[in-house]
Amino acid sequence: MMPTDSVFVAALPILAKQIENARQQSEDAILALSTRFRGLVTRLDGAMAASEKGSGDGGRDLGNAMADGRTQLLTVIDALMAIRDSRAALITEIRSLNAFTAELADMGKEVEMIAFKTNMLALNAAIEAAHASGDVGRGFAVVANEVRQLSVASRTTGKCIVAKIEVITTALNSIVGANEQAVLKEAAAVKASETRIGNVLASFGGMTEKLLASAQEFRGEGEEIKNEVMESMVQLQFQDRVGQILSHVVERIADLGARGAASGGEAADERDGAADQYLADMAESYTTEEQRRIHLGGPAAEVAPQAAEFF
Amino acid sequence: MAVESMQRTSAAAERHDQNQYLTFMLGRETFAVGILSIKEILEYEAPTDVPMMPPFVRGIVNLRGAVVPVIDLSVRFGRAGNPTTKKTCIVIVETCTPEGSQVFGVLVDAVNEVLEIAGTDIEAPPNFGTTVRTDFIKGMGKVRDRFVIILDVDAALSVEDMAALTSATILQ
Repeated sequence: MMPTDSVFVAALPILAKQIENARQQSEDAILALSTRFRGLVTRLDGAMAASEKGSGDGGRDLGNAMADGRTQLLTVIDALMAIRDSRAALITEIRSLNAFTAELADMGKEVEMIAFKTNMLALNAAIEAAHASGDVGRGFAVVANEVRQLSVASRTTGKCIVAKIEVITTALNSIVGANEQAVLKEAAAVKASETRIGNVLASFGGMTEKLLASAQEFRGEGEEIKNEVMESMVQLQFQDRVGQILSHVVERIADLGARGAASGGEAADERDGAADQYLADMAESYTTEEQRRIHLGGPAAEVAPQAAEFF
Repeated sequence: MAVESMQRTSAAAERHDQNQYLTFMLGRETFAVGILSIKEILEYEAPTDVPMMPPFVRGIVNLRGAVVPVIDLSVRFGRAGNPTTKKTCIVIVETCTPEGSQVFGVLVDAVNEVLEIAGTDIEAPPNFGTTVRTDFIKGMGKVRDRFVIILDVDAALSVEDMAALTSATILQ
């Protein structure tokens, strides 16, 4: 059975309201979405600007710090090398001292030799004195004895000199030995330090480059995401057109309803049966609360967004 | 009084000279020889070799024109000769025997000093326990609480004795 005019008259305004409601809701939602997208774009811009500034300045700062560190560490190595050089100079000095001590040792031996000869002389003098008779011999013996005492004293001194020089020579040699060991160790340490400093600087350099590269990558990705979001915003402009179209449809439907009501005034009595039946069927087929509310002529607003139910 | 004093002093001086000895080393032992037997001490220089001499004669040296044989006392005492060092000396000794006087050079390892050993500090040579023939020893002198062997050079350097030894060596 075809619906009668009364059915149209009754249903059309409701349908118009339903469409208007849907239009209004989607417009609101899309507006909110656009706002959010705009917010996203703004924040992305901010983040990228910060990253740009951070990695740009930071990269430069890091580079400067690395160069500074390299300079300072090289200064340390230079200082170490200076110490090593001065040690080498010290060794040379001590070696030259060694030559003197050798000479002194020879002199000490010479003193001993002179003492030995003096002793011989004194002994011979004593023998001569013994052979000489009387006072002459006695006086001579006294002199001979004095000379002998001198020779003993000088021999003791000579021995002392030689012994002391031996001590000095031993000490100097051990100093030279220790110093040479120290020089070798220092050279090794300087070399090791250079290598380590080089390694540390290289690994810092590598890390910096990676950091800069990843920041760059992040900015690139961010740019793309921003572009995507902006394109999405452009596409969201469909809402404007759809809204206009729907507004027009709602207008037309309302007009249709008004015309139907004007022309079918006399058939109002027929409305009761078929129209009521149709409206009841319509109400039956609604799936949401707001549809029913609009159907009954209530406001569509205050629709709490239902928690998403996924089937 | 003064003359008497002089004479006494002179006599004391005579005795004083008699009691003076030269000490020297031979190996690790200290020997002493009366100073009046000694003419002088020479620094060592190698003596001129003379063939057909017994081993204890090291050769001859020229002492102001006189030929003086050099005796190695160690070898004479029946020991191995010591190597010469810069301390080795030749002591020129004059022996006095009934046959006449004879001058020898004696090779010693080192000369020590001229010192006085009073007659009371000299003991008789022991009958045993010495490393040297007892007839070469005049006595044992006490010096600073140690004993030195006082040699009888006339016996030790007896020409007869040495000649006998030499001919024995040659006969061998």
